[in-house]
Parts: sequence; structure tokens; C-alpha cells
Amino acid sequence: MLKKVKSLTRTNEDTIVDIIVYIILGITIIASLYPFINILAISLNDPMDTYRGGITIFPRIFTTQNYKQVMDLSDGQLYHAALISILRTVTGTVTSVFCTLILAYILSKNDLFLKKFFIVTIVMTMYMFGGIIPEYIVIQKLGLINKFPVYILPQMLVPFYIFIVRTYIQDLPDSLRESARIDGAGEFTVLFKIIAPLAMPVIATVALFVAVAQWNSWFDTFLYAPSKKELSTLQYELMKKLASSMQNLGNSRARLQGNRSSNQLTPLAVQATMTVIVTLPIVCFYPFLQKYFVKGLTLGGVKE
Amino acid sequence: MKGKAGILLSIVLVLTMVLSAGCRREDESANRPGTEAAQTSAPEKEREEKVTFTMFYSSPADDWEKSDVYKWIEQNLNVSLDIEYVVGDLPTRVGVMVASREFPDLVFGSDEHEKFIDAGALVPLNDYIDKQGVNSKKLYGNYLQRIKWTDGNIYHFPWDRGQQTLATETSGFYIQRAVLKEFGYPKIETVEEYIDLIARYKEKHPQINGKDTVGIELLTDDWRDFTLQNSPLAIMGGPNDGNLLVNQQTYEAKIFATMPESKKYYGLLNQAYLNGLIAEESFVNTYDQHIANLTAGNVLGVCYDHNWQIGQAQHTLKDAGMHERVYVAFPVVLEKGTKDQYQWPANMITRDGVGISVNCKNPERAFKFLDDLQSEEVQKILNWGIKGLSYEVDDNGRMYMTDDMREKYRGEDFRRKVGITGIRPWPSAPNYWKYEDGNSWNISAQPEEIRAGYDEWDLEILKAYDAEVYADMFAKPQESKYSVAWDIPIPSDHQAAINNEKLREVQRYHLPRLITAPEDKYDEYWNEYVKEVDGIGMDIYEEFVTEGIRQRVKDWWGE
Amino acid sequence: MAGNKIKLTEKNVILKKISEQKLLLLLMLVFMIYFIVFRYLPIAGWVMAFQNYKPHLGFTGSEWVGLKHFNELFGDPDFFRAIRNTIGMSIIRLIFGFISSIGLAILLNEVKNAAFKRFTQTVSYLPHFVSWVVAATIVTTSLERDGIVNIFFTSLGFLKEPVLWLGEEKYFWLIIALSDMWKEVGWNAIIYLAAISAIDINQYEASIVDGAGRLRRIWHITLPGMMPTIILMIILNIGLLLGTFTLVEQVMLLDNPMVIKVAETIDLYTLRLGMKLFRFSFAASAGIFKSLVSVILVFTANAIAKKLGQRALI
Repeated sequence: MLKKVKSLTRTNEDTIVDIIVYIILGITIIASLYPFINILAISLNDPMDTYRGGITIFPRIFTTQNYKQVMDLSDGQLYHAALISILRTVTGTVTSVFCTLILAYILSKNDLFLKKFFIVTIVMTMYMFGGIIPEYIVIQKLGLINKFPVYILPQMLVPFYIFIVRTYIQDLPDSLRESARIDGAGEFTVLFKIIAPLAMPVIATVALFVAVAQWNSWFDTFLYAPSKKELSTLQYELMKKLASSMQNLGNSRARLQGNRSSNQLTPLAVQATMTVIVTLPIVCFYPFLQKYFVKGLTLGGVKE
Repeated sequence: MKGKAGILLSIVLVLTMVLSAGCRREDESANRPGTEAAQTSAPEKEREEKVTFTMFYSSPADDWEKSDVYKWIEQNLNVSLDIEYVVGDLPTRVGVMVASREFPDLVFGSDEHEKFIDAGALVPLNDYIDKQGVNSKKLYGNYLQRIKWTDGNIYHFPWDRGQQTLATETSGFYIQRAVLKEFGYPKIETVEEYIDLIARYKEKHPQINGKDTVGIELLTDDWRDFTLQNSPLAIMGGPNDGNLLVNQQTYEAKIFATMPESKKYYGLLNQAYLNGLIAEESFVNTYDQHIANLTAGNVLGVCYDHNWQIGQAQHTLKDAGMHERVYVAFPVVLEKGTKDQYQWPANMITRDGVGISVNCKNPERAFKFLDDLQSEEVQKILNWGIKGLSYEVDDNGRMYMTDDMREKYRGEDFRRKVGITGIRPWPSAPNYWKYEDGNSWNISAQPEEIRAGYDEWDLEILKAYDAEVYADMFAKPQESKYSVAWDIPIPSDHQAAINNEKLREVQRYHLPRLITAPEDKYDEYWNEYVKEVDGIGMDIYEEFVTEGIRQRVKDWWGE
Repeated sequence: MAGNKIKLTEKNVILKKISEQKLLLLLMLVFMIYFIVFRYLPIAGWVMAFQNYKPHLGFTGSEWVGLKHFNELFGDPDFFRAIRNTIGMSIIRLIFGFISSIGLAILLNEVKNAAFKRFTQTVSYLPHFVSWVVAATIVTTSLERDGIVNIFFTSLGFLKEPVLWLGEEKYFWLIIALSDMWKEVGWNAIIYLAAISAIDINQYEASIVDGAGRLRRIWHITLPGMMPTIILMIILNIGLLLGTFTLVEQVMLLDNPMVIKVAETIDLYTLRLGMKLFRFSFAASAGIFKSLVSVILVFTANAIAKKLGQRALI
């Protein structure tokens, strides 16, 4: 039946649209893949040689020393930092998505008491910042300095995500909710049994955003736990390497006149290597979330 | 000790030491690393002798605590360090620390150091130096007078910036070796001669390695454009005083940004630009692009730069075997016969260093540690590394590196492992000082080591210019009575500092505009520039620094 | 009597509502406390804008200076130039960003081959993970005199002479917008992909039966289906017109002396004359200005959306 529909509706328009779609996507692929190939090449190139410029797709002087030096954190420090990174990513994502979903659900109710007030209160926080020092003092007074929850709590509820989820829930057919209510289901039954499964695309989206933010975060370590080695994260350790390579660069004056310097970590090399190390886990994990918002449910899928 | 048990045991040990050292404030301790899981099982003896100090180190560095030098210090001075390195923005971190008053035992604040002093975070060291400063009295001697803060107290021991050696150039007008060779190693004295030489070479060789020859490229990326802003002082024969010209009799400081000499100099650059000798990219390129261009070998010169900025290009060129494209620095001046002061006078920069915080519970012990570091024995360890590992001593008592060490020393990882890489926050003499046995304070100042790094090109050039080391091509540094003008601390929210920042921004926009001005427009642009500078009110800045310099001369020399 | 009755019933309705929603409201209370503690308490720090705040003196010990910092801010022509630059760049950035990411989501939705679709989608968001520091080196080298952009345009005959793109004021805002689009299009499209996945499949089938072409289906089904999300994103992003962190980073890495007059944003201005000089108070006064204008912008955008009959935020 569907096959028939397809052959019937295959028109010139279809062909033209297809051509345009593939051309634009082709350009997108090239433009998006290039920066990553470029940093891959830089990360595998001799760092001093990189200074001469002109590295594009292939390394000129191949070396794995950048990875060796960036990953050289003895005493299991790297593994410990990676462990903390994973821990904060998992904990942070689960709590954040859970709370965001609940809050978004509550705000999606049209007849909620004081709804306007709640929304205004939340929206305003997107655009008002007290500044780093006042924020630090609050965190300090809460006793969160050098504690693991300091990675989770401050950015647990992001208004932006709350409203994205809320909009999605509002778009779901009302009938679903109504029928469940008639069956006498409680709020949470409706939320977790009916709404959540349907909202998986947006939940996966938010989970992805939160997880990536958690995984990439280093600024909160710098601010709230810089001297707590047990709480150091992978990103923070890598930032340390980067900062150190910048300092060494500025300090090239300390080297002898005429004395060449070999296998020195340069900022660009560290940046490139860092990006590869940090991004690979995300790319590997991504398909598990991707399937929720890129499913073949739409027309294309129906036709095939 | 192996595996997990070993790690666990060492954690317990460290925690115990942290606790027993007791060098921290009680009410803060809950927020500090380690203390909440306090254990008390360490051996009695260790608890008494060994101390752990927490430390704030404003520069990012690799974990120095894993180096051989650190291990030596830990064993011999009985002090362990728990160092926090700054990974992000330094002012932010310092602001937060000062606001929350969470200071570790030792503090090294570099550019933000005065914030700690303003906040009353540091312990005055005067009494300690009097009573127990055996080594500090010896190391700094008369200089102790100079490291006093404006309130008369000493809050820190300065470190070595490593900028001045008696062997290499600190800054200059850079020109390719090939250009010098082409014209038989001529003397280059004035800006005009410098530009002329480049013009002649460019005409003769319109292409290098298949690329169009570029006469001069400047560096203007972000804060690095300070070289463009400060260069008029150098060609006027002034010392390294930042953007101020200081009258050496009256100590009156004046900005030279709009002086006739500046106008003439930028005018010469404008002419060079109109003649196609200065690359337009100069004002667009990032530092990395600039270095990449220099290492391509087709840029003949860099108009005034500092050794440590161009160094990256020099190293890369040598690595790539392009020895004839390496640059040589000249002390170029505006008027023939002007005595140059490119080699900075031997001054100790005193505005920052390592100090002891008011939160430190055992300041006597902390001071003893800092004092111990200042003995010649420990200074040699800090600056030269470990004997047999990074240096040897010959029969005459001269310290040197074997060829094998020199080869290894080129590698970042070796320097890091030994612990002699980068800037160290420890008290130190400037690197041009000498130990009692006549050896230089650190490796990079030891003449033998410098000569050992020269290639045939270096030797040929030095011979042609009748010099032993490159520094000989410059006038001998002149002693200054106030160190340098930029070492005068200005409170950062003082109007003088604000106006100075505004001047920077005006110059950042106008100097490139002047140099790239179309024919006949230079004077018009110049007047616009002067008008804007005059509008800032730089007299506040000038007066503040003048006052500071005069005070300093009075304090140091009683004049 | 009658009036009273109505009031009573109104009151009853509210009370009934509260008792019905008591569980939700209780949870809401917890969330509100969260926002007050983590977001509103630090805003008390705004008092520093009226002080000469010094971290070591604290809020109680610092000297009060009234509106001094605001006067300085509004007396400086550089500040107004910074506002103009920020809004100019942000609007262009916003337009390019919206059109490109919505467009990409729609295009991906038109791809039939599931594997290709997934591959393209995955690849398209990769630049998001390349930090601006590295991305900027790619941008600056492509825009060099002998960079890929000049080679492309000169070989096609659009340009006679290579252009120093980053050195000209007139191109700077466009470069900022285009480079941001290049880096973020795939990442931003994810939200729209999620929105599309909520569209009822039956609508497409029905329209095929009706003989609608693909362009008409995009126009009449896909786009309207995404509309609530698009409107939400526009409203929320209008509040960011006065600058975001990524804009600061991006401009800081791409600007140079030739273009600073069009490049300095509000945040860079505050960084230069505020934080860099340890003037927290001055920085705070600019921050307050930014916050207030942003909030006004968002509520205005919300009101306009309502007027246009769209589902608004509030």
C-alpha cells in the first residue's frame, strides 16, 4: 500500500527537493567534518612543527607524543579525575533531567495556581546574575565548597531546558492526559507512565545538553574546589595542562640562546589533543540518545 | 607499598601530616582539603618534624610536587607542599579568595599580589628576617631595603623573572641573518638604516622559497601590541620603563606616546608601509599566525620585539633547519649617536613574590622554610637541578652540563621531571647574579652553556660584530635608582590605572591607523590621535608614577 | 449579598484549586526555594554597584558612592558604541543561527536513508565540541590573504584581488555571525529535530493522499509543528541580545586593532574597564543595566508573540 503511494507521488518536485537536500547536507558534512579532522591532524603532528602553520587534513611530522604527554598524569590521577567526571556527569544528568521534567510538567498545567508568578520568577533568573563573588559567598555559606554536590546543585535547574520540555509537553494531545485522569490516575502516574514515554525525544535532548555541559565543565572546579585533589575532574586536569603549556611558552626566554627545544607541549597541540580526548566519549555515547530524536518515524521512514 | 594499599596509606599519611602541621585556621579548616577525613595514626616522630604547607601559586604549572627537585626539598627541608595552581582567570580567583578570606599558608600572587597585601592577608616578615633570616640577609643584603612595601613592611621575597641575562639580547629590532650576510654584516644603528637594508634585500630577492618577500611584520595581537606602543622609548635610548620617559635627574615621568620622537618613528613606519615594506597582515594576524609567517622564512624583519616573544619563531626555524632565516637583534635608535639602553639595567623586580598568609598557624616554621630556600645550596638545586642528573661540576668548580644533559634539557618532559622548568615562585636572586664560587645563578646565564648552544652561524655573526655573546652587541646596562617605572604599584582601581588602560585602547586603535595612513594623511591622523590621548587625562598617571619613583629613590638612597 | 456570594465562590474556586494541586504546589515551593537560594540570593550582591566594593572590606565595609558608576558608564561614548556593536552582532547572529538550524532540521527530516540521516546529524554537531580557541585559528587561517576563502572567490572570478577579510570593519559582524553558524548549526538543530519528532505521522500520510507536494508538506505540516518551539526559542534568545559568553569568547579571539571600533561588546567593555582593573562595582553596574534591559526585552517579545496569536511563554 505504502509502496504504491510512493510510486504515485514521485514527482519532479521530489527529485528537485532531493537534489537540493543532498547538496546542502553534503556541504554541511564537509564544513562540519573539517574542523575535527584538522584538530586530529594537529594533535598527531609535532607541536613545534605545527607553529609553521599549514596543517590541514594530514599531520606533517607524525607523532603520538602529544597524547603521551597530555595523558601523563602519574599516580592514577588521570583515572581518578576521569572517574569523578563520569560520576558528576551521571549524577548531574539524572537529577537534572528528573527535576526538569517534574517542574516542566507542573508548569504545563494551564490552571496552575500562581502560574504566571512562578514562570516570571524562573524566567528572570536567565538574565540576572549576581556576579561571581556573591555567588561564591552563597555557595560558601551553604557549606558546599570542596564538596561533590557543588558540581550538581548550582546548575541543577536550567530555565532554558525547563521551558523546552514544557513546550513539548504542551504539544502532546490533551486527550491522553484527560483519559488517564478519568481513570483516576495520580499526577505522577500521568507524568511517568504517559507523558514521559511520549516526551522521550525532548528528554533525550535535555539529557544530552546537561550531560555534555557536565562533562565539559571545569570552571566550577576552578572556582569551588581548586585545591581539592580528590574532586579534580578530567577537564580540569586537561585545563591545567593547557595553562601550563601557555606558561611554558611565555617562558621560552628561560631557555638558552640557540638551544633548540624539542617535544615541548604547545597550547595549540594541547587544545587539539584535549578536544579529541574529551569529544570521543561523547561521540561514542551519542547514538544511544540520538535514536530518540532522529527516528525514522517521519515520512521518509514510512515510505521505506 | 604497592597498588591500592600504597595509595591508601599515602593518603592517610598526607592527611595526617596536613592535620598535624596545624598551619591553618581552625574555622576554615572544614572547607580545606583533607582535614575532614583526619586520621591520627602517623608515627610520633614524623608529626613533630615534618610540616605540610598549603600554597597558592598564581601561575599554572605542571605538578612540580612530582619532580626530583621537590623530592630533594621534601627530604632535606622536611617540608611538604600542597600547591593550588591557577587554571582559570587569576583576578577572579584572587577576588574570591580575598572576599572569602580563605588563604592557604603560603601565597604567591604575581600580577595580583598586591590584592593580598591590600587585604591584609600577608604577615609582615621584618621581625622574622631580623631574628632568624640568616640566609635572606645574606642573599638579598642591601636589597632588603628595596623589597619593602609602601608601608615599610616586607611582605614577600621576590622571585627571578629570568628576563635579564648578561648574554642574550632582551629586545631589539630583528633582522634575518641572510640579510646581514648579503650585505657583509653591516652595522645597523638607526631606524632608517634598518628599513633601508630590508628594502634593498627585498628588491634583490623579490621571492624567498617561492613566496613573495615580506619586508617587516609587526605583532599586534591582543596585549602583545605593547611592543608597538613601547618601541619609541627604545629608539630614544630610554630604559625599560614601559610607556613612560623618566627624567633621570628630576625623576619626572612623562608618557612619550605623543612626543615628537614618537611622531617621527611612526611616520617612518608609515613611509615604509607606503613603500610596501610593512605587511598589512601585521594588524590582523594572531600571535600564532605571526609566528607561522616568521617561520615560513620570507619575512625579513620584525620592528622591535622582545626576545621571549620572538623566541618561539627562532626555535622553530632552527628545528626546521632554516638557519639563514633566524633573526638577529640590533639596538636600533632614532638619531645617530644616541646611547641605547636595550639591555635592561640590573634591577630586582620587587612588587611580588612569595609571602606567608595570616591564616598560617606556624609562621615561624614557614619563614624558616622560605629562609632555607635562600641558602646557596638550595638555590643551586632550585635553579640547576640535581647534580649528576642535570649538571656536573668540573675540577675548577665550574658547573656545566654534559652533552647528554644538554640534549635532554631541550626536552620539556626532562625539565619537568627534574623540576627546573618554567618560572618558580621561590625566592631567588636575579639570574645574572653569581654564587660565591663564581657560577651563574642559573643555567641560562652560565657563559659556557650559552656558548655551547651556538651554531656556526652564531659564531660567524658574533665574530663579524666583534662580540663574545649577543649581549655584547648592545650597550652595557645602566644602573637605575628606582628599578623600573612599571614596578611602581598602582592600585588597580585608581584613576591612574583606569586612564592608563584607556591610553592603551586609544593606542591600540590609532597606531595601526597611523602606520597604514594614506599618503598626506599622516599629519591629520596624528592630530586626531593626539587629541584623543590629551582627552584621557594622563597627567594623573604621570603624577602618580612620578610620586612613586621619587618616594622610592628617597627610601632606597636617602635622596 | 450577591456580590459577597460571588466573592465567596471565587475564593472557594481558588481554595479548591489549591487543595487539588497541593502536591504540585508543595513541589513548586521546593523549586522556588531552590531558585531563591541559588539565583536570587547572589543578586543581593548588586548593592556593590552603589559602592566602591573591595573584596577584603566586604559589602558592609565598602564605601557607598551612590550612582557614581552608572554616571561613569552612561557618560562614556565607548559604552554606547559597545551597546550598538553587541546588539548589531547579536541580531545578525540570531537570524543566521535560527534560519540555519531550523533549515538543517527540516532538511534532515527530508532524508529517507536512515543511516545517512544519522551520520549527517552526528557529523553536523561535531564543531560544537571544538573550543572557540581552536575554531578561531581555523577561521583566521581560512580568511588569510592566501587562505581558502580568497582562493575560492578569486578562482571563481568573484574577486580580482584577495581581501584581508578580518581587517575590514564592514565584514566583521558578518564573519562573527557566519562562524557562529558554522560551529553551532548542528548542535542547535537538535532541539528542532526533537520538535519535529513530535509531529503526528498521520498528518503527513493524509496530506500525501491529498496530493500535497513535499514543499507544501514542509510549509503546512513540518513548520507549523515546530512553531511553538521556534517561538519559545525566539523569545528566550531575544533576552540574550546584549551578549552571551560565547560571543565574548568569539569576538575576543577574532578581533584585531583594525576592527576594534565595531568589535567591542558590552561584556568586553566591562572586562577592560571593570574586572581587569579589579573594579567589581563598575562591572556590576554594567551587569545590572544588561540584566534589566534583557528582562524588558524578553517580556516585550512575549507580549508581541501573544498579540500575534502564538503560544507565548507566560
